[in-house]
Amino acid sequence: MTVATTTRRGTAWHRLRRNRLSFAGVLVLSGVVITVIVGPLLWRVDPIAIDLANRLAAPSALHPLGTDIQGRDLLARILHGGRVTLFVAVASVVVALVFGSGAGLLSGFVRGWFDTAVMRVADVLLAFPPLLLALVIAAARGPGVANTILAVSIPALPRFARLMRAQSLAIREREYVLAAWAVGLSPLRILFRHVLPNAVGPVTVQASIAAGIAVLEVAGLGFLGLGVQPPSPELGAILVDSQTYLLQQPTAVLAPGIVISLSILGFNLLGDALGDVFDVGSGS
Amino acid sequence: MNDVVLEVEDLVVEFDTRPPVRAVRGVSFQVRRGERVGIVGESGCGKSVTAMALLGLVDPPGRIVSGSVRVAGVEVVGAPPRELRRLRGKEIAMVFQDPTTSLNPVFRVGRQIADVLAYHGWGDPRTRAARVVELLRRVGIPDPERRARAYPHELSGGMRQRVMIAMAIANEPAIVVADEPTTALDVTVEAQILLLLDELVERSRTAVVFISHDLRVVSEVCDRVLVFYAGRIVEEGDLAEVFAAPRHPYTRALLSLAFSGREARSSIPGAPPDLSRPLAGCPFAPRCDRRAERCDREPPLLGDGGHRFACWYEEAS
Repeated sequence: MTVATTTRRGTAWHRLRRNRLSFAGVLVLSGVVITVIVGPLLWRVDPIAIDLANRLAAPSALHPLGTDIQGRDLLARILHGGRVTLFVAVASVVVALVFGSGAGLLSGFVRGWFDTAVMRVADVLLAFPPLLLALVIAAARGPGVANTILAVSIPALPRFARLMRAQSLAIREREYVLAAWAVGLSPLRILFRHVLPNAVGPVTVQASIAAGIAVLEVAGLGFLGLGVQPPSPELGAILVDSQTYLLQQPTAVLAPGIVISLSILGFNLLGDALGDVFDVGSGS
Repeated sequence: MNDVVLEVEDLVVEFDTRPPVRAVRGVSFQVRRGERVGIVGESGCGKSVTAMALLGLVDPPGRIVSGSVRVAGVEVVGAPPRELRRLRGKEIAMVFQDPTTSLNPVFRVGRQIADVLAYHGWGDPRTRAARVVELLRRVGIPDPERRARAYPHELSGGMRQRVMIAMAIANEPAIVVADEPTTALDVTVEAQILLLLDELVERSRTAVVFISHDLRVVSEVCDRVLVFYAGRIVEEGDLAEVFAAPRHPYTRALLSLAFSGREARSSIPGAPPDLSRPLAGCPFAPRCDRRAERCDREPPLLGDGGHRFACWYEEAS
């Protein structure tokens, strides 16, 4: 009978370190995130300042990635654009996470007609391919940051709802929930103190994977002109802009492409890592 | 009688499955302050369902069809949820079978005990923390200050059951219902837990309803015993009396199973009746070696106040 000296967090960190691929994913993702957050503070060049005299300049000390067709500094545009893309993607996932898993948590806990209603709505949303649904919403609502968040989050709702409902259904039958009823806790307290904390594991994994998909969708909408609008830089918008002068300025295509790929890779590997942490962590 | 803390009258619980199963079929008993009452019987005889009904925790598809359960004078059947929540954990608490699953894995055990106190309005956070440590000490957990900060997975099964007991007695309830509290534990730990329950009753005059399929365990902790069969009480009385002179053939069979040597031990032939059908006559008759014609009619609960039994044979065998 010894009390383990390692805390829960400690062992989770240890597990993360053990899996090299997951660890690499976490490193890549933190690299991208830190770059887009800190980068614009260090590289203080205006990403939308037009300089027609310096159109399509080759990479140099002044413009490390060169300039685009309007003479705007590409490094600044990638840093700011990456920031916008990642922010919009993460915001969409947060919205989907909160509302999707909130609905799922409640429907698994109360069951009955509410559960049926929520799950049928989820079924309808799942019937559409996510990107297509996002396109329809973006087209209907018009471009802009808020509408892009809406367009990307709505198709992600049903997966969160279903996953959380399954967790909620399973956990409400656990003996410690019964024990909580037996000591007189109210349904609301049982939901938030006992069901929710034990149900979040799989949902965080889903959130990480959904963030990768969201990056792609945000950039996709930007590419199609339905997302974040110019002159605000956004990776997808930079890509579509630069394809016309692909051969004259390859960095304008490669750089945003690499940032998008790395973020998606990072989110997916992080998802795997979280899966490892929570899977083993659920045991005693 | 002011001493009665639990009064169950003609309790009937049915499960609305297909076909409907009537798991508890008219059970009546009383528990007095500080009394230790054992409920014994085979699996599926209605012990656990009765226990849940005592806390008003019969969930759909189960439902209490009729009867009454009064805890500390308050009617549980049909009580509004708010009233039930006030009773649970305050007047009547429960200890479950498997301590490895009955604690929330994500919170420290001390906090879980403090929650029960807080929910019933006990003190402020400071005094509650002190109370948690005192409770853990009372249930025999060494180094309680440190153990209060442990997560459930850091404690052994026996320790966790002690924590569950600490939780159950936190608000000094009038009754603790223990549903097979030692079944999941090994024999030495079982003995410790039984001793602990015993001490707690002595000290706080809390009544214990002890549910078990193991007559030997019941014989160690109980003053009185109720023998359940097919959702009914077939025999009840003081432990010593029932064990010395069992009057119902089912009790006799259980006793000989529990206390006979290995060679003599066998199971009771036959199986309990199908509880989805109405029972005509004595429910034990098909398995009884003294079955007679009158057993086709349902036997009344015979005997004097202390020792009652549902068998047509009035004389002891």
